[in-house]
Amino acid sequence: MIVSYPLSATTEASKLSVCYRLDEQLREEHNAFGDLYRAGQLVDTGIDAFYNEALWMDYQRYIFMPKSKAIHFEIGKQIELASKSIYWDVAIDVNVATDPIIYPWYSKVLQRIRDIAKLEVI
Amino acid sequence: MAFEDFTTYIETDPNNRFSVAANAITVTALSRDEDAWLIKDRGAGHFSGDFEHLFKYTPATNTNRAHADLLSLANIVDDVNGIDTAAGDLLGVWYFKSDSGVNQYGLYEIVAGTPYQVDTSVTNHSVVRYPKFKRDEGVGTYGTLYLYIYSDEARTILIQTISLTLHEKEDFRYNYVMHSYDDNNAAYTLGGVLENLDLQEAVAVVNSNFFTFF
Repeated sequence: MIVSYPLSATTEASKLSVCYRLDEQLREEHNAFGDLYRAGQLVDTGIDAFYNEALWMDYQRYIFMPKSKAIHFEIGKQIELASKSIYWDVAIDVNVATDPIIYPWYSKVLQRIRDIAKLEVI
Repeated sequence: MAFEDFTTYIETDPNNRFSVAANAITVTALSRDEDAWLIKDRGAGHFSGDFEHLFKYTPATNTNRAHADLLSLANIVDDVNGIDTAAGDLLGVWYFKSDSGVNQYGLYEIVAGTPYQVDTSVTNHSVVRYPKFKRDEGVGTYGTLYLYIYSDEARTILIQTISLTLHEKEDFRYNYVMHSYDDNNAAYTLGGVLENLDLQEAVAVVNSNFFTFF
C-alpha cells in the first residue's frame, strides 16, 4: 500500500501536508468504524456474513494498520527529505529571530567558528 | 490480555516516589534530579523484531517541564539521560509537560548516545489515555516506531498517532516502567498512574498431548 499524491503536491512540504490530512481522515474513519463496533452495528450481510467483533478486528488488521503504516512511512520520508532540502535560500542566523540580548556574544562566537572553518579549508 | 505484574519488577526508588501494586504504579513528584524506575531483565536480545505494548496512563499533578519515560527498552541500567550520555541505545515513550502547560506524549530513540524524538505537539493529553506503543521493523530501512493514543480501553476512539523512523535495528534486554530523566532539575516533577501494561508476548505453549495406554 502506497500514498498517491495529487499532481499539485510537488514539494516535501506539500507532500507532508497531504500525509497529515490523510492521517486525520484515517483517524476519523477509524473512529466511525469504532462507533459502529461499540454499538454492535458493524455488520457485513454479504455471503460471508461477518459480524461485529470479526469485522472490527479485520478492519484494524487489513485496512487501518496498512494505511497507517503507508502514511507514516511517507511522513518520515518527507521530513527527512525536507530537512536536507536546499530548495530555499535561507540561513539560520538570518531567518530565525535571535534574542537581542544574546545576539552580541552569539555573533562573535559565530564569526570565530567561521574563521576557524576558513583556516581549515586553507 | 495478560497484564504485567509490577511487583515482580526490580524497583529503584530512593525517594519513595512509587507505590507499586500488581498491575498499577502510582507515581508522585518524580523529579528530573533522581534515578528511579521499575525494571525487568528479560535476557539479552529479548525485544527483537516487532512488538506492540499496551498500557493505560492517567496523569496527575505535573509541573511545567516534568518529564519521564513511561516505558523504555534499553541494554544498560541507568536513567534515560544517563543512557544517553553513556552512548547507550533506547526506545521509549515519554510524557512531558511543556512550558505552556501542554501535556504531551513523545517517542524517543537513542542510538549510541544520539537522540531522535517526536512529540504530540499542541494536543493536550491531560486526561486518561490508552496508548499503543509499537515497533514494525518492516517499515523503512531500520523500522518505524509508532504511538497510537486512544481515549477508551477498547481502543476504538483514536485521538492521535505519531511515528518515528528508526535509525538502527537494535534488540533490547531490559524493559523499564516509569523511567526517570535525570538532568539535575529537581524543580520539575511528574505524577500519574500507569496501569495494565500488556506486552502482548506469545505465551509458551505447554505440551498437552495425552498418551493413553491400554
